[in-house]
Amino acid sequence: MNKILCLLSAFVLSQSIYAQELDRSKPPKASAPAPLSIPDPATFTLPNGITVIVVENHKLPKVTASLFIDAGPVAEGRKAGVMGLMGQMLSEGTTKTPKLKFDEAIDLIGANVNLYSGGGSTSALTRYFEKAFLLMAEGLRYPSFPAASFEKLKTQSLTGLRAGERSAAAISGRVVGALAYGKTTAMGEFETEETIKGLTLEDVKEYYRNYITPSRSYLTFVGDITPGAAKSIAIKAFGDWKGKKLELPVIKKAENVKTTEIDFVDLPSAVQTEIRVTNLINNPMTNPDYHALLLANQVLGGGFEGKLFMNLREKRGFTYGSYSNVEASRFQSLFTTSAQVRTEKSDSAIAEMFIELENMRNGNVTAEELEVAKAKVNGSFALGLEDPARAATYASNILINNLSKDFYRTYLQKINSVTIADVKRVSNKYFSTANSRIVLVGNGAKILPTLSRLGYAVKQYDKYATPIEEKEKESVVNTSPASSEPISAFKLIEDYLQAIGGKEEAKKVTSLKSSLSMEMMGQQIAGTDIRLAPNKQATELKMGAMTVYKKVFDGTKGYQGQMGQNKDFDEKEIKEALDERAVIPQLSYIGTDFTALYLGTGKVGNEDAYRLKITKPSGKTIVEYYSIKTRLLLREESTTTTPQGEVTVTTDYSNYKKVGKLLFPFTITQLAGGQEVIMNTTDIKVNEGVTDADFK
Amino acid sequence: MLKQKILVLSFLMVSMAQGQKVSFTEYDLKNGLHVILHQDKSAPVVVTSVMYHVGSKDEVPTRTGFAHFFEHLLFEGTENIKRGEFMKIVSSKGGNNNANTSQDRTFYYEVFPSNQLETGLWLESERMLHPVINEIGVKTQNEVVKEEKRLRVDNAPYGNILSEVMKRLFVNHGYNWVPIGSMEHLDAATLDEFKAFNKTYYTPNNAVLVIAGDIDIEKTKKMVEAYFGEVPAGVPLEKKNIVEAPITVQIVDTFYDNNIQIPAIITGYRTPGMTSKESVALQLASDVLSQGASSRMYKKMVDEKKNSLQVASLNYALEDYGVYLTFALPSGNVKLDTLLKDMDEEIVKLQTGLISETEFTKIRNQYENNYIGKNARMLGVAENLAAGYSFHNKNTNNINEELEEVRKVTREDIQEVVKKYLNPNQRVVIYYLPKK
Repeated sequence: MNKILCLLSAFVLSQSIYAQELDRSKPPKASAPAPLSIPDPATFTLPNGITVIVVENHKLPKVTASLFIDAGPVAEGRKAGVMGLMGQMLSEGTTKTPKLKFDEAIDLIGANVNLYSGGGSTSALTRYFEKAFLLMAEGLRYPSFPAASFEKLKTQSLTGLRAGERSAAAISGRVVGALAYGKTTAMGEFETEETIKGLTLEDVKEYYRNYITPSRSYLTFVGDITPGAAKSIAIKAFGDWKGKKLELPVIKKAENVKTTEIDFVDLPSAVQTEIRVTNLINNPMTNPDYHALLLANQVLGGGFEGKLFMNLREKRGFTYGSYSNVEASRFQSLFTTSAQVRTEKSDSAIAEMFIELENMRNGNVTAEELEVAKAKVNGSFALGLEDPARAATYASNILINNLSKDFYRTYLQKINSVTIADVKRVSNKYFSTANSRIVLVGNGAKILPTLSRLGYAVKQYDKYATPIEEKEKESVVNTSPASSEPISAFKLIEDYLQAIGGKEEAKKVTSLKSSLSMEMMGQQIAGTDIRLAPNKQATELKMGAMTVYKKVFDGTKGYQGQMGQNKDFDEKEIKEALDERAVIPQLSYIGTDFTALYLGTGKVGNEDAYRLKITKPSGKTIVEYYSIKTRLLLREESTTTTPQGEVTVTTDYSNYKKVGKLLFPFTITQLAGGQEVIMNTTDIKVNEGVTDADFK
Repeated sequence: MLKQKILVLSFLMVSMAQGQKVSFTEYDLKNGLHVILHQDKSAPVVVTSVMYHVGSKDEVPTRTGFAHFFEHLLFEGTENIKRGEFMKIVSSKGGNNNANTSQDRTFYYEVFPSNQLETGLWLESERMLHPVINEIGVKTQNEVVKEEKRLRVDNAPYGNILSEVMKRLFVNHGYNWVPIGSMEHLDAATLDEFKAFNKTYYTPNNAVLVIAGDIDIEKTKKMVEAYFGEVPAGVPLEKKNIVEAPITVQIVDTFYDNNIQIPAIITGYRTPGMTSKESVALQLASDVLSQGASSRMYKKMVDEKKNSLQVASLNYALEDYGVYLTFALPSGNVKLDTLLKDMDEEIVKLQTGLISETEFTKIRNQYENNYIGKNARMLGVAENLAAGYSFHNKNTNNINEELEEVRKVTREDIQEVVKKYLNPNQRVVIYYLPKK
């Protein structure tokens, strides 16, 4: 009777809740929250030091497991990419099972086994789990490293690098790390064609011996398995495994930039600009500011309700999404705000991002915003419990990051006690506006002109984070509109040497004696220009029998003079004279201490030309124009210091004629300080009659 | 009468031999909204979701992109939820939400801590009852959608593969275009057109409400009635039946992608819709060819001949038709024709001989392993329940029968479908090249 009454009243009660009209005008009240319980995983240590974590959950007939080797960031240097390749080589067969059989064994049971430089993971139906787990262990412990596989993976890596060449996101990721941490650090380095090509199978084996080891390892089981069963298969697979002892590396801290700057990478094919505004932070999970910083990031750009998303997407429609991220790490890490915005709105988007950063720093955060952020973090914590692996992540986080045992039990309590003042304080401490890098990857022709209004210095980099001034001569810099082929400065120089008669012929030239004639201020002037490899040089101009100009360099010292008044070369002039390394100067451009940068196209008279900027070892720069049609040198622009100051000298070369097997320009027109001089070559002698005595 | 029957129909599945089962209760409201409830108390989580049976294939050819546009527009606000508040409310209750659009349907969902169930129902019912569709919302989301297209298609390497295949395989059917649609069409659309589209398709009788997670079934039923009962029914929709003429001559074409350096070779074949048994057999055929490192195409082209960086084949199953795709990226300077020949050889082998017993066991195990993963979380369960009802002749229990269906497929079936559908004269071949 009682029971029936109870049921009946419950029925009436629950009916009455919705008996009248709903109030749709505001969100309904929540019912009482379900208690949150984080299961305590079983943990134990194997005799060889491997820490084992087991989360037992029988909901699905499936088990996952992973081995994590905590080596920290590994500096690879000139072997960048070796760790990745080593990880891939683990899936190429073992000393017990060739690759084909190994792959078949995994696929046959429908399992997944992944092996990589930081360990491995597997998931399988319960009935096949042990087999899958033993295969994972076999891959890690007994790789056979076949040479053919190594070559295959190397080729794939190189093709893969090419594949990412035009991906704005990939370029941005690489450049952000390289600039923030430094290109030669464990955190900032990246693989290139050069480093990959240089790797050997021996390198892979060496890194394997050093980094695949039970030392500092964590083995995690989640799913349909008991701790007892997990332990016995862990021992079966890894019990007798030995390896090198790992030490966590100590990493030198990088510095933030002194003032905020724009670091720009040109990607002419881009229709959106990849924007990342970033600064370095120190935020280990043990950081007392950890919880406040997590909330500050949530308010700024944690999701759809963040200031960045609401402003850049919902208010202005600049982007599909804009977010921020605070990395928590034992090592130095990055705070980043990011968005992919349409090209025309790049500058506006950056300005808005900085406005939101300033809002955070000024404490312009409403109680509602903070409450929403807290609710979101509380909710995520609860929702995370749906995944049994979460409990394992929590347990390993505590161990790896040296957290207090109650870190996750007190987590929400600490989150919920954060105040607006705390958010303001940590925003000031960690969200920089004065020392940020604004890394942009996008269409330079369209964006660069708009950036100046932001007031930050703009530095240009290539896709591999090299400042554009220091551009390697081999690299492809731009695309020529004339041929639509990518142009390499290096190739242009090679083409020129080919055009004049071939590099080998050019190399044979050890001396050159040219006789010139010209007219200057109505007077006939005759001249000689003598060169002797590598850098000896003598120029003399005569009016009748009188020497009007002379310049001589003998390899160590030199002088120049007009009308008999001579002046010795100063240090700078000696350095510049030493820039000459060959009688045909282009031969030396290919050397390592010259750089050549392709600048785009131009015209000399009516002729289309490629423009190259050559920086010589002394630092002197010249711009050369090479004909698109003939590839011959048409013009050279340089500056020279005269008593009147810097003067631009433009020298045009034409009327190429053959002397022996090589072409030489027989007409040279020089324009300097508004004065034009046409020099005609009357005779050229190659490797004939020049001695050291000519350079006295 | 039939309606009455459905109203009281409710399933409580008993344990099946293969371990996993998804139990559910289902019924219709008077306005035609189909409701599916699934209880799972293992975590304090609840998913509220609505699957509208409208996708890009339902659009007018001169107004493509509407369904996906609504995926955005229906977050703009309702008569009771101010513009920009929708997502804030979700977050302020500790939840997360999103939506996605395919050729066939649009799926909106919230995942909440289970004590916020009622908020989820309020939000979804508001969206169904009286969404605000106005100029400012249309204008803003128009810009956002353009950015999404730039991000996912125009600026994304290989972002145009599907659209290039579809537009050549389908002439009359709405599968001719992809969900992102045409920006010109969206620019040209009037507010009235958007309102009309909403009135036609976003009705209770064209939707499935699925609630999955830590719920009390009886209390939830009452809440559902309270929040969704008052939504007026829409005009019943006639299912369009557009039949494409068979392809009898191979279509070969070239596409240039600005964002890639490595070319790709792609083939696409028109295949039957997802409810067909043949569709399942085609998926198994694709598993034989490219699922796992020991699969036929992968082993031959990536490992042995080493001429491919990547190779894949899949049966992209949709409601009315499917598309069987093969795809390969060359390693080094290998010619695309070499890869095409290698892929074709493997298809011919499937046509001329049965797969081995070992391979057969392998693909069934792989299928089972993936299947178990698909229903590991409430969101996956909710979507699979809704899809079963929407696409499998109102058979919500498809979620539990799927594995059995796969087990019924024989080696002979696999050979048959490959012979029937994957022939060169039935396909499109696209040379997908880097734009210089």
